[in-house]
Amino acid sequence: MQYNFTVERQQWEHGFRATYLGTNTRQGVWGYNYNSPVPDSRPFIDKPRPFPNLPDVRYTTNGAGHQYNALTVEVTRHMHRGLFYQSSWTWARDIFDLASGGTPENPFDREREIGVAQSIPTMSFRSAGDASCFPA
Amino acid sequence: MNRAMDAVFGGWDIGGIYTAQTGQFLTALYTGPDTTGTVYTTSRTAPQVTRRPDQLRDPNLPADQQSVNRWFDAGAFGIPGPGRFGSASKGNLKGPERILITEKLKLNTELTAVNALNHPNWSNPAVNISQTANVGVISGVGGVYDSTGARALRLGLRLQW
Repeated sequence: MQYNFTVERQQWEHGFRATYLGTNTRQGVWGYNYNSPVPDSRPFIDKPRPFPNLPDVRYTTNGAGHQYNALTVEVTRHMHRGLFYQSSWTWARDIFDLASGGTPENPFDREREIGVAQSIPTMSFRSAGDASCFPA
Repeated sequence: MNRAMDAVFGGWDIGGIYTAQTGQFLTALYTGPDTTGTVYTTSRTAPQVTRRPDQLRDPNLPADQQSVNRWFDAGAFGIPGPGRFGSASKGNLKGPERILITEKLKLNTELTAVNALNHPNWSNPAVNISQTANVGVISGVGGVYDSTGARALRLGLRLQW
């Protein structure tokens, strides 16, 4: 699901924009070993399992997810003679447990996987400018 | 613009993009025997696994102590004891930030420079605490948010009619 809210205003010969953007996944697909013994200090082969004659039994289900929230503020100005600049600043955070089809380290504890997504920077700043000198 | 000025300056276009981003959220790992007895094996010897370790303290170093040879405090992590998974959560290490400047100069020729100032955008450090020779070490540039590395120049010629 994705949702956003934007406010724009022209002021002091600049264009201002503030945007909240949210995306999330609920009931995402994940999987775990249904045939895993409980984690403790005993060796694997000494512990009971639901199906002792089978190796791992991967069970796929729903329940994984993520929540992304971002706020972007942006300023733009177009001037005569082709001068233009735009700057934006974004604060963002994405919290997730497992990516689609992911597997937790502990098959009995998916919530232990909750953490910050690696590739979403907390802050990013981008500024662009352009100047043109058109033929008369 | 008069004809002489137009002949010299007309048709030029110069642009630049500056991008700065905070670092990625990295996850420490270790490689060693399965301490939890949950990985399938037919042997009494625990199989090797790569998992999150225990976190003993804040592993992130102050900015003035970070270097490409020691980006974070690898000693802040330890191997989990028997029967337990590690206590470290995902994304608890902050990677290097990234700064990028792109410039473009265009007439009928087009010159584009990516990372024009040749700022080193460090790759993420090695995070597996079992690899003691290089844990916490940054050994390259680029590959954090994209493959951007050293300064790259591109010169193009455009014939338009």
